[in-house]
Amino acid sequence: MSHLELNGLSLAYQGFSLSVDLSVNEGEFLTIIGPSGSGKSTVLSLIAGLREPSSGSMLIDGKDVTNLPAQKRGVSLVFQDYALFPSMNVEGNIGYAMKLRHVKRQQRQEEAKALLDFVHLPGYGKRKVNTLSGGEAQRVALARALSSRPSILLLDEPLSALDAALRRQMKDEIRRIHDAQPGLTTIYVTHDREEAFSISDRIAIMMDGHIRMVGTPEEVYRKPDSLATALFTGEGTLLSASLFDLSIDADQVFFRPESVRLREHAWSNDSSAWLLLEGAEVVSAEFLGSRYLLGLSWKGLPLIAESPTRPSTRTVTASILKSALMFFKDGQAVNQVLVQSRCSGGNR
Amino acid sequence: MKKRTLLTILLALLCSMALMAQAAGEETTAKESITLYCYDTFSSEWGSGPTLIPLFEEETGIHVNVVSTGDAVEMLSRAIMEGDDCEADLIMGISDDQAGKAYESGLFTSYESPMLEYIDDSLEFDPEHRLIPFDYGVFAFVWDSESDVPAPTSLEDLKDPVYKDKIILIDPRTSSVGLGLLLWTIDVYGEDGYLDWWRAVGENALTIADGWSSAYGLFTEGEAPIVISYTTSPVYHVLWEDSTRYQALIFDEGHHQTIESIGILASSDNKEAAQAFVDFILSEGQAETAIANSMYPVNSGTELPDAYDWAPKPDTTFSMDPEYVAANIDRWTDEWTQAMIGR
Amino acid sequence: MRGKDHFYSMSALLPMAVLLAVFLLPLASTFSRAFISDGAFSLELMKDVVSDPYTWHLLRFTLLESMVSAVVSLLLALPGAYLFANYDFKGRKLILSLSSLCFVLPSILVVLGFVIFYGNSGVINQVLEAITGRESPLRILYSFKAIILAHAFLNMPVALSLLSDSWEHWPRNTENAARTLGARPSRVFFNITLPHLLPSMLSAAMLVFLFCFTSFSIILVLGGGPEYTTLEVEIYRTNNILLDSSKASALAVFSTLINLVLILLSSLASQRAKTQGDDRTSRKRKVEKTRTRIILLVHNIILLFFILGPLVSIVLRSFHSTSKRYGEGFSLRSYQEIFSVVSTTGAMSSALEGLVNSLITALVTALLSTTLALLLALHISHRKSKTLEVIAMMPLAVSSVTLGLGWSIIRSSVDSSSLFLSYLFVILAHLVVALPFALRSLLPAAKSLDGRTLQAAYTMGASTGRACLGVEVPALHSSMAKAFIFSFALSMGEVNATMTLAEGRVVTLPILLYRLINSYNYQGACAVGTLLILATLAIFITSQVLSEDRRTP
Repeated sequence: MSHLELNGLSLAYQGFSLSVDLSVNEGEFLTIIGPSGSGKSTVLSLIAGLREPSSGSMLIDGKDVTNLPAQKRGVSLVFQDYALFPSMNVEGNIGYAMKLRHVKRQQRQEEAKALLDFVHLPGYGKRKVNTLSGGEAQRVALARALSSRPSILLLDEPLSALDAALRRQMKDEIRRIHDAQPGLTTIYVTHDREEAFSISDRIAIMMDGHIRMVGTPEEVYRKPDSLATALFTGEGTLLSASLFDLSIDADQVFFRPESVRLREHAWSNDSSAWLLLEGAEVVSAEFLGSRYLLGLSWKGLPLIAESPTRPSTRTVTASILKSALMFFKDGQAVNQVLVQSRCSGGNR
Repeated sequence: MKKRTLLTILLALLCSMALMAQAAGEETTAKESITLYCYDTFSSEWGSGPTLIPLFEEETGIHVNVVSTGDAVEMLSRAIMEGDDCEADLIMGISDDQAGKAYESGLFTSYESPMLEYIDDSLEFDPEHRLIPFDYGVFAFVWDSESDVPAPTSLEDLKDPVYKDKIILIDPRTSSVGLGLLLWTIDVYGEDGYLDWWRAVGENALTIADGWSSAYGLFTEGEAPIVISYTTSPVYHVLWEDSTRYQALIFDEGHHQTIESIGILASSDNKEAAQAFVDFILSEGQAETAIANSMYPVNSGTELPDAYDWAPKPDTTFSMDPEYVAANIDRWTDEWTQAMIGR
Repeated sequence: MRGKDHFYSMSALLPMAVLLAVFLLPLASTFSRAFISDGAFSLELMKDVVSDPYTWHLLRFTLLESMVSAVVSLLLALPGAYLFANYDFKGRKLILSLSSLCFVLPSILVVLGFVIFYGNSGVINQVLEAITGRESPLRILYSFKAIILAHAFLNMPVALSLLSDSWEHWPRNTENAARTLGARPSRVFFNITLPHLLPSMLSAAMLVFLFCFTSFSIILVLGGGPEYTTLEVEIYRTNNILLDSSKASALAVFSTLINLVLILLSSLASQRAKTQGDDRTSRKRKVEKTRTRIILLVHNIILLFFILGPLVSIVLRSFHSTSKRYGEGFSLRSYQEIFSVVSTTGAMSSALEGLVNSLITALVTALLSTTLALLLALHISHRKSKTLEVIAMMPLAVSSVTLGLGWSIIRSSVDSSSLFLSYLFVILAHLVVALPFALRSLLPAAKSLDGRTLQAAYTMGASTGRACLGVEVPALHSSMAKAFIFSFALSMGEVNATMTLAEGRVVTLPILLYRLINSYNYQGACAVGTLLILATLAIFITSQVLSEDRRTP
């Protein structure tokens, strides 16, 4: 049985309609990614009970909680802007949920201290919240969210206000915190796909108010079930399928830059396993440190490819392993293993 | 750009209107003129000012510049405060109760008007004729006959709880009518007893207004059925509204009388014109002034309309020596103030 | 950078000179009277005032009346502030403008409206009488209740706009966080929302308190008698009726000292509870639920009833004759009257003259006060001058009666025959009344100006003055409009200073109104009141239209 289940949970407002089906397992770390305005944060508000759905239902451990008010759901939310209470100090913020449960003062202080140690902020209890740096405020917000011992922890773009180095550090921290709480289900919202890939057990792709695909990071990257997902989860080259002699019912073919191998000399080995695009012209080369990102032009069509070295000739042959190709028809993935037929690059 | 044009036009319009208004005002100041301080009621819509002043101006060619200065008490106060700088040639509407203060100020000069022979001696309170009586009135409570409270017949009656929130009183510290009532209660109950009356009736008062205008205004708006005013107050309603709804009540204990006077200022540059105005008020102006002020005329030869039948004259009237009033008034109002807080 | 410092220190000179001339000087002249008896310095007068038990009675009542008024105004404003801060609905802006209308109307007009609407024979009671058959069932006017009601009417809108503004920009997520941590809505309000609102509640309460502390006409007419009198009314009475300007000055010193102590205390308290975490994005949302829709509707109807009741009754009353002589019922007589009264009697001026005078003084006052407030605001924000801010806000703490006392002392020493001087005095006095409000409207925006845009202008070679005019002033446009409107409206409604300083020569609409009420011509007064309401309303609506224009160029 899944821990959290959203069945057609819907909301319509200001010309935007949202409808979500989602099932999350206990102890799972699930990330919702999607372009801004896709409704990610709204889904969190619905799960937290901060907004009322217009239809659909929501189950936690099989129990219908659709109409349960926010304070009774056992769901904690960490906000993008931290939303710490300015009228209380750090300890007061963290102890607030316990105070609501009439936990004794001394015990509150002890637990707050333990939580602060846990988020690596020992001795911060008496600090005022407006004296905290962004990273510190984020840790306090996390500690506060955990203080109510939620079964579900929601994180709404928690790292977006931090700088890159801190972001990487906090991301690992968040995963560590998740792993240290057995049974804690975390739903994490971000628009940063790399963040999502590295932190999640599973990823849900959200677009225009709907969840398009749920899968492991590898699945959503390598086997996207729609073109839109493919385009959102990473860069790549999209070509018309009609350019190639493929015995597959698809209208578009897509591949990631890292699937491309560049050969500077004519190379005709094993053309059954490789799709060969001969005579591609190198247009641009961007040095990324570990590799080059190359812009190519093949028959006037743009391709992108990655290469460990900068090609020494202007014209190259781009070869793509056929198993790395993704095919789409009307935007939907065509799930067919490519047969070992000969494909050649056009009619040359 | 459009907005700016609009603003400019607006500004130009305003300025030209202002200039026109000012030009219209200046046109009249060229002639011989006197300045008259009077209380607001004189110059108001139904005061005698709007009819009498043009008449006087036409007869004499003297322009009268009327400055209305609030209540009678405020008027005298203002003149005293301004002292030698006072623009007024005449001050109209000083009551005998305040005469002490007026004498003390030394602002006024004597004038033996030829009209004095028509005035009853008992009304000529100032032997030096600095303040010349022009009308007089008798304080009385006025009652709304359409209300559901019975008409009281004595000051004593007003203590009855049936009049709770039914009476509008006036502050003696700020109004001549209020002061008149205070003196009336001293006439009747003496210095030892008047505060008891105020304490008891104060409980019944809807409010203690700051002046007669607001008190009488509240009364006619129907806020309370009894107000302190004059026996002559109903005349106005009979005359202008054909209404006998508001009736002045004659009380068993007798009534306090007040005499209103006009005085010429010693500092006046135009005493002759001022004297002409006094004579005018004491003769031709009598009926009009009495009617407009809801008072009795002092000139015994004045013909009055029938409406005056609704202004009952009490058998007993009191008045107080102005010097005696002046000597004690501050103490009385202080005592009164303390009593009204402590009730 | 020296040039820049120079520029912004110079910018405060003019406003300071004006403040000095029309505020500090009269104040000093009032105060000096309190310490001089028989031509020498003495504390006798102060001693007399302080040892008089009546003074303490007055103080007690003044404090009580102001405190209750402040609390009632706040409580009445709270539900509205919540709704206005959280929901976006049609007519929201209109209701806010309408409610600020009460604040700028002369209080004598408010009193008139109150008698006509809430009086024992007022509109409400007549309706109730028709239903219940009992005589004047609703006795709310007169004495203490009436003072509180009138003060609430005047000041609730101020509290409403201050509170809803602070509430609107308070990040909703903080409340949401508390909810997800397990707090019931009531707990959220008391633990999270209230502590946030507290500073603005405190400052709103303080403002209302000060207005009520120095309130005058309302106490004079609706209070009645020595029991319900405040220090302010006593100062007026002592000066204008007892003619004891020395004692009045001593009382004024006493009252001002008390006021300053209160302001100091409140600013200490509000300093401690400094607001943080404000975000400038609005939290307003569309009304979604029917229940909210109904609550909003009911609230707005009650609010409009409360605000518009007295105002509409004034308008209606101006068309309603009670005189049998001219026929009872509908009549335009009062309008004919107020427009036709011949000015040769010098007593009544025509309403047209009054309207023109009002508009001219208001226009000049508003232009000057906006300009001066702008200069002050720029100076304060650049130099972080706290002292200047306090000085400029001080006219709020000193009552118009106290100031009027000083003005009349100064006025008596200047040639009094010049009409030009009369206008000048009136405008200067209005300026002092309007300046603190104009500054209040401008200061927050001036303080939040982005210093970097100014630096960008310098790097492009703009002089300090050019940068200020080209970069800062345009950025403050909408706040300047707000300051202008507010000054304009305040000047339109001003009566005390005009009366003291112009000695009846500059007749504005409120002066005319005052005179008509004094000669108990209520219908005429209502007609003038209607003109005043319409003129002020026109200003508010024009400003609204203009500000909307700017948003969609």
